[in-house]
Amino acid sequence: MVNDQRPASRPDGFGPAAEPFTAAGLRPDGRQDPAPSREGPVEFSFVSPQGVTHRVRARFGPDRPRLVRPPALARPVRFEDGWQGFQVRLPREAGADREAYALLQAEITAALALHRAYAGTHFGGLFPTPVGYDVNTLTPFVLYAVPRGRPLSGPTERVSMAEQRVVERDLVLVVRLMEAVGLVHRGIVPGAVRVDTQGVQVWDLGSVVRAGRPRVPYGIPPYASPEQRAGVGTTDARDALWSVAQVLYHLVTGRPGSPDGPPADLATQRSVAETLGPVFARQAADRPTPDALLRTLAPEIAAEAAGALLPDPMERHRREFDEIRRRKHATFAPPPPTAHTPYVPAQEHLGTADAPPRHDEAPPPFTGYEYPVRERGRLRTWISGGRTSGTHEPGGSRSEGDTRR
Amino acid sequence: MTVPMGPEATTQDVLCPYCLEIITYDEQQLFVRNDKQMFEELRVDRRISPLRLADTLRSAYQRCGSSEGGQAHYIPVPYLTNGAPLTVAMVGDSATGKTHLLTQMIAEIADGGLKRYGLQMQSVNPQDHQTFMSERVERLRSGEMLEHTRSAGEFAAFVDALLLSRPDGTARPVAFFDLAGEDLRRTDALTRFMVGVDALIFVVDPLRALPMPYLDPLRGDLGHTRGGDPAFQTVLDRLPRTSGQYLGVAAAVVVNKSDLVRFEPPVDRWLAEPPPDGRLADRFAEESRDAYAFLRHHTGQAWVAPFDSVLRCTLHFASATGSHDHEGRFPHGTRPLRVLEPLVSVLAMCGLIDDGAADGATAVGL
Repeated sequence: MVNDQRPASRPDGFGPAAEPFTAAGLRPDGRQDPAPSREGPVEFSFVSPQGVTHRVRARFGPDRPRLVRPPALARPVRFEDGWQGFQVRLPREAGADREAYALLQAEITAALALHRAYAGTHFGGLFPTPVGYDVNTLTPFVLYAVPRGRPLSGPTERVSMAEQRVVERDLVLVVRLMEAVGLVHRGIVPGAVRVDTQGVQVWDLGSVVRAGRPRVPYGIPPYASPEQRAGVGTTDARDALWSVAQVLYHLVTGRPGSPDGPPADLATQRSVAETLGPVFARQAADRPTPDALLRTLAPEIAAEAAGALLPDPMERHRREFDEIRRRKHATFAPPPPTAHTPYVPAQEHLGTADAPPRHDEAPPPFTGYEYPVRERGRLRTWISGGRTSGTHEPGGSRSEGDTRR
Repeated sequence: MTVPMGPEATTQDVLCPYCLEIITYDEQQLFVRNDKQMFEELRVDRRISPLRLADTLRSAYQRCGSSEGGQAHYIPVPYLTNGAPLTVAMVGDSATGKTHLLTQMIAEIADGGLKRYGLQMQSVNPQDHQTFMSERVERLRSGEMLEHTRSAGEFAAFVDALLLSRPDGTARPVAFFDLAGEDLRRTDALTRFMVGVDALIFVVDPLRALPMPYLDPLRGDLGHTRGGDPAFQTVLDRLPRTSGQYLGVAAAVVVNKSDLVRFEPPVDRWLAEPPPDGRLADRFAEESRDAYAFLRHHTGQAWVAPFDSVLRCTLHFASATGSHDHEGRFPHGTRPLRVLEPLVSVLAMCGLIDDGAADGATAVGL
């Protein structure tokens, strides 16, 4: 077994290719292009999601068209121990294509983030299962377990109400779970949604971005929201909810919806309108949140999703960081004002006017902004960021961190 | 056309970046480099036009008066005549990627990377800058790895210096030191310049600091250590604690080569983060918090020693090349990731950058 947590192979449609496998000769360093050649298996290495480097011999099938966005390529792979999956890779000639490289990295980032968050929970099957990756090679790649089910873009049959509700619930759940880890899927289209008897699995993770980033024009109508296609505002989990509503409308009616708002016949499509009506709002801000929508569809699952994430083990170190920062601030913060100043008789009334000044007072606290007397008698204030006043000379500005004296 | 002002309008006392003695612009101590790169005396002819004089002085050097008894050293004239200089030093052991990081920083500045922060760039010495660009930047961008920095011997010179101008027209020279890791561990006169340095960029190498087993095949001769970078401790120990328990220098800690751990949280978030737009202090504090937690989660306390010791210090994720080399080359060129942010942070701490937000850039690192 190469990876203890590697899923079992599920060769439904991704089994051994009908044609003979082609494979490359052995690469001495194992980090080279595992591209097919005429004979024999390829030996290559990859890093598992658990961070362990594995070295395997495997055979690759021919590239399968239209499974991934060009110039990336996808092909089945079978390890010598019989495990089967498939590989998404950038061909060597696309290595200099920075956009394609960035998309593959985004895909691996999203796949691993979702795997870390939800593998081993009830929700793990909603997402592709990454098995390994290597981006320090001339043909960077990611390996996945075989996808579940069939895409919704295939031949459409009439779906039952129960099936429709499962797809609807699972897609909203996917959006909710991605939102919980700060991700937004911009590419939920029928071809990226696979369905089997267990439910939904959402692919095309190269279209995943972080929430809150400036939108860039992306996606196709009607599945991409108007704001997303225009590239205005910032990415929002509700962008993906628009796509979910459009996919459901297509699933139910067999035709695409309106690219700019609710479909004209929405009122007659009651099974869609009664649950997803508000999601067709033109602007993300007017749509319900994924959590609110999921609570209306499946309250128990919404509650489970809300508690699915494990505590972040780094959180205690973030608190440690906060504490060090607090100690630093304490060295230059002024002492808090006293709430009440008790009356003290004037010194002269007690006959101590000639008393020498006290020397036992503590020096003022170090503020981090002390500067020795500077040339030309410049004054400086910390609030100005070290800028000086009263001079227009070049060099009249010196820094807080400037240690020159 | 504006006639450039002569240097007599801006004479001031500054510290020699090498010997830390006070140096004042002096027209009687000027030199230029000849074709053989030797310094030869320059006699300033006041009868030539101001434009020609300014052009001559832009390429001139002044010999530091404290050179007697020690190694003669020469300071570019614009360094002495353009406001308070700022010195930035890279800190880290050998092969941590200091040179690649600094090279990409300067390359991005040359590409206008600081314009979004209101800074314009000009070289302090055109010839030195051109040499830096051709011998380092162009080679690295073409996919060639730069060789390890050679030991400086007995004298540490800055590798390049830039004039950074703010929107109000004030300019400050910024000089960059990049010493070999073994030199940084020396405690003799070579590293005395550190005492007067304004900003430090501590470079953390994941191949030494982080324990992930998938990094093992890439470590080469480098071993994983929880004990921190010896250069960090030597430099922190060398700096004067003028008052209080913290060091007053501006500092940034950079987890360099972050591409090697790009899929680890929270690196996966930050490496894809666009440059900050305003609110620098908040943004850098957020990244620092994550980077500190990441380092402390995976490494020993020594790797975050700069944050513990320096009052104003931020932490960052960056990658100078964007990928690991293949037999000494980057076949598809280099893809620097977030290399400018650590420099922006220390420049903000030093008062060069003002993002206009109340308590914004001035609060960076606090």
